[in-house]
Amino acid sequence: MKVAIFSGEIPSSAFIENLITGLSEKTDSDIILFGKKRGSVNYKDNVKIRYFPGSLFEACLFLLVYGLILVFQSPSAFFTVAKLTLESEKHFRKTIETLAKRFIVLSNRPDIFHVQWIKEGHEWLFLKKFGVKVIGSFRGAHIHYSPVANQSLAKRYRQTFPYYDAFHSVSTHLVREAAKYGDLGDKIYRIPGAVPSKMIKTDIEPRSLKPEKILKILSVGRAHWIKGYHFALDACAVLKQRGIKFKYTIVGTNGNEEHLFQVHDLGIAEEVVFAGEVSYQNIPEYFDTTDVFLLPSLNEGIANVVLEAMARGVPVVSTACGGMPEVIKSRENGFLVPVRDSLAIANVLTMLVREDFNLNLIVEAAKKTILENHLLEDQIEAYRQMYFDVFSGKKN
Amino acid sequence: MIVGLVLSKVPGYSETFFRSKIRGLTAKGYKVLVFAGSGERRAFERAKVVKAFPVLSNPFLQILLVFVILGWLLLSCPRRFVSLFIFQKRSGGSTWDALKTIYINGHILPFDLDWIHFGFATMGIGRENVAKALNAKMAVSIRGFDISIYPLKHPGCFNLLWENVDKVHVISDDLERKLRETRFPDWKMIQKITPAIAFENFFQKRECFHNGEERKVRILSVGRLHWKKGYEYALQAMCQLKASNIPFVFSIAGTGSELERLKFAVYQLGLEEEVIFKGKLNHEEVAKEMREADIYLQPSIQEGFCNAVLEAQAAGCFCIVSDAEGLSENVLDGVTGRVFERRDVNAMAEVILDVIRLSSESRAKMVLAAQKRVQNNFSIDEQIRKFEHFYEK
Repeated sequence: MKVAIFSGEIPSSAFIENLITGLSEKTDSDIILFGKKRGSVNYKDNVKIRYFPGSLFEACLFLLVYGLILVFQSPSAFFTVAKLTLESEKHFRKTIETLAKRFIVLSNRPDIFHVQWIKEGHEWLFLKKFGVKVIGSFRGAHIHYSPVANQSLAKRYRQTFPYYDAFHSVSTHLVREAAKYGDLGDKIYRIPGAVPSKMIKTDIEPRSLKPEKILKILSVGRAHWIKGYHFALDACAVLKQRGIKFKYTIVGTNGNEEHLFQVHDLGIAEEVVFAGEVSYQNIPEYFDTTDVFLLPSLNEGIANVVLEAMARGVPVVSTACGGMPEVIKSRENGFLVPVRDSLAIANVLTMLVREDFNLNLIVEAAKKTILENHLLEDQIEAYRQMYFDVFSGKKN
Repeated sequence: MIVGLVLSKVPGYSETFFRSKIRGLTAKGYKVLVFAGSGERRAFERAKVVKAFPVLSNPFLQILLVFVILGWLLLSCPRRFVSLFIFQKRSGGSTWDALKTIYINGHILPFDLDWIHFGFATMGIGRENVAKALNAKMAVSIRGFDISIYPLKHPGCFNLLWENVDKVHVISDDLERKLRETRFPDWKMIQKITPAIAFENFFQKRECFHNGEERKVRILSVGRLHWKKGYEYALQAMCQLKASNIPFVFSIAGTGSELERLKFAVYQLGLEEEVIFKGKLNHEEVAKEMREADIYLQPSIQEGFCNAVLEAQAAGCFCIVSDAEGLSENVLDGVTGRVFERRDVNAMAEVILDVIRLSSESRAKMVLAAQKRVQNNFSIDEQIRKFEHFYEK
């Protein structure tokens, strides 16, 4: 079985890279990656890489080379896809690029084409004509808000969803949201985010938060409004008003204009640190030196950073957005607060400091949640099962 | 008197602030030149428009053009060329940087000016020595963005500008206070001239006020969809309003980069029935919306002064604004409208509820007071008079 994992970029984001490496450890399937080159990668031998053209010159070259290969392999496929592309594309450059990409994929024909970003899925549904099964992944933004603001995208979802062979979703919440764009039937595979077992910290020191100590709060993620940092910063202002000593570190951004202004305007510039971008390998360091992890997001599939924080033994305060309530049960293995409620965030943090809440139980329960439901090894197995099911035509 | 106004682009039709200022000054016999980076070259309001030399994407052509222009400037105004070069070198920086500065200001150098006036403080960056080279006086207008946002990413960006400026124009007391808190020299002149509107274009005598029964309360906000406008907070306040069973419709006129964010907020807060995004409206359409609205809401987080609030007051809307920067000078709390603390969703919702529950008489009284105040204190004639004073004294 040959599975294509498609995200458009090589290498891709951390969780997709985890999937590729994890799958390649299992020797019974071949993996093929398509996408634009963004950096160097190192995989096992059963992972093949076919880069997409990065310039018009490359596009022309690839068009020729892969076009020739495809003609020899299957003349009918060549003519069908050429006709299809010439009919639908009008713009010269786009036509060349699209043809080149399609020739590359068809001449390396996978059995399963797994599109990681559902927004781009419609561009690959033509593969079904050539016997390739197409799977689309639901991940946060593409289901949560893009089709809400963009009516034509919503329409496209309605038109194309019936054609997918299967969908992968990281949370049940996302399935519910996606179901607004069409009947997903029994094509859904829920496989939540996961962390590698080596990330789980075994020797967790008991923690207690004391009002006289500085409370260290951490968030990780890019500076996008969906991450809800503006609510977290408002919460910080409340903490300061209450006289709570704290330091809030945000990893993943140097602070955009909005956040810098807000921090300045609220008078919390001393307490807030924008740590900038930090490589994936160095994130555990931040987990290991913080008291609390905060996820102020307005929506998430299931935020992997939260799973990582739980694996590292860091108590999590998260908004009850998207799939997060599927991971966190409030006051059992973490804390949930309503979305868009800075006061609720401030109240939980205040409680942790002032009431000397027993966090050791929370942290232990969180670790258990990860071990039971969010181990990368189990996730990889679930993906394999999905691929086999789809490949053999078995329904979920 | 000859005034050179330096702007990033030629003011569009909708930018009434500069248009009315230029029109007013030329009517008083001033000669006004507009130096702009982009926009149409065509003269307007009897002001001559001079465009900056282009910045090309082809580096070879750019260098060629720089040398041609510099050569021409050296021949046509050698003294200014040399003195700007010397001033730039004295301010620190390489020879190449000094030559670049001369190129960037090449469209200004040949003109004889009494005043060179930067329409925004950020326009003065890299042009700090131009007035000296021209032997002209330098004025700078300051906006909220200049003081509150830009320096956060560019600390110390105005140090050289403040050293060289002769007079500063601010649009609110709040901005003057903020400016004084920076490294602005104490002894330099700051004059407040608030924005102005053509009152009669918006004015409407309000006779009946919504009494909360027979139809939905119409709430309006006008302005581009930008985080600094604080719409997300306003939407959360609307959620509370809805919870209080007040039938209302909240219209937002304007477009911008935050449309997706705001539409998602509307969706997540369940306000699809109550909130309408009107898109970008022209002047007449905005005036019409204002005449039909009961309450005008300005939930900004950062706002220098806000012309739209003046216009809404003229149109007879009851104005509810945040206390961001100059807004609380625009609307006087409890006298010409209501003011709430910025970012405070509960306070905003409470004030809106208060206003809806206010008796028609009390509402009419405040609206009338607002109309009077705007007509008397924010007229274009008054603004021009102050600008004359600004340049003369």
